[in-house]
Amino acid sequence: MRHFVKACLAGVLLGGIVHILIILLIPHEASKDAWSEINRLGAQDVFHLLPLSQTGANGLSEQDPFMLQAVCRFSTTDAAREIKASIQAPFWSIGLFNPLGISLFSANDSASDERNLRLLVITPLQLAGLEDNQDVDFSDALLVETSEPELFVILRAFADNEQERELIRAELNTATCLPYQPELIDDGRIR
Amino acid sequence: MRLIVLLVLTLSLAFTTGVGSAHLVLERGNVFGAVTSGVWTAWPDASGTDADPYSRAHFSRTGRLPLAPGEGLELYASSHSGPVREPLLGSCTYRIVGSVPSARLWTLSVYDEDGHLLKTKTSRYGFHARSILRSRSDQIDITLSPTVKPGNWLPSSGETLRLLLRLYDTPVTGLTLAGTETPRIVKEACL
Repeated sequence: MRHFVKACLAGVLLGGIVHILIILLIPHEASKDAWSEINRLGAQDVFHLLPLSQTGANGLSEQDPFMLQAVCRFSTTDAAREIKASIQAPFWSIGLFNPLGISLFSANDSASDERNLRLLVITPLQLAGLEDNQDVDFSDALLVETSEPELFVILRAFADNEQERELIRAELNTATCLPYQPELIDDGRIR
Repeated sequence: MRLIVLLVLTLSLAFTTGVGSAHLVLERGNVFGAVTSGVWTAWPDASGTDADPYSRAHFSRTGRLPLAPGEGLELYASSHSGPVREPLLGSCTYRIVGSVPSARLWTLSVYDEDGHLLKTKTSRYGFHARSILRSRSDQIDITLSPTVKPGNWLPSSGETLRLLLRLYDTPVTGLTLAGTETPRIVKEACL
């Protein structure tokens, strides 16, 4: 009897360990997660418009049907990244995530005065390298320092009617997420 | 022989309790960090860098991409108001009445249990702050029903449903949500 109780206790204890392992491993192993869906959309370094998913279809779940959404996945290992967009929507937002869906940065249009968005994603090492060589002026950009090698950025823009949807779709299609190229401004500094 | 029996007992107990409890927790949704107001629940920290492992595991399995803190707050409802809370069903009529928490923009949409938009005869998936007909400026009155209704009719179908109220650019946070007034979901009749 004592052995039986001991075996049961050991089983429950081991069960606890199994539980913790499963919870911790799932984000790394899941194939239905947002990152896998985004990978299925196509090449990296380009914005892809997200299709809405209806009953029975695949795709990211629980999307807002009133938002047009575009996603770009990229890597910062070779160079810093510059995300540029110009959106005239009554509301838009941007979110930067790692492959596990953890948000590293987010903002909405009230954060920037103009409709033109410029977001720089840079590793601390790359930023230090830039600042060592030249004077930098990033005052017109949103700057995110991160050591995450792989990331994705999502732009969401609200569209009220079909006409507006067309317009915003076109604007999202012109959004870019390319390697950052330093640009010389008047006083010899780079932006 | 007895050793083998005990070992099998321990291992099978470990497996069932470990896998079972993990499954239960993940199916019920992320149980930690939830904030509620009426029938609505939000997980304000689900996508933050300090998100708990359960939220991470849950979101990576559902293939959804929660709003990041700088974008807005998402409120979920999967049951109606009242002393007995039953799941929302596609065969029943509900009225969604009350005031929406303050936000620059809000959208309300309905999903099936997999998080996909419903296939209905119309292509109306929800309402937003600008599309809704109001009786009083700060109140909404939406009828969620499988059959045509006058006023703000939100078509439904299928089995269990989930409503998502998104507050974009809102002063409401996880800390203030509990004391914020949210719409009630009143069950009217079932087919």
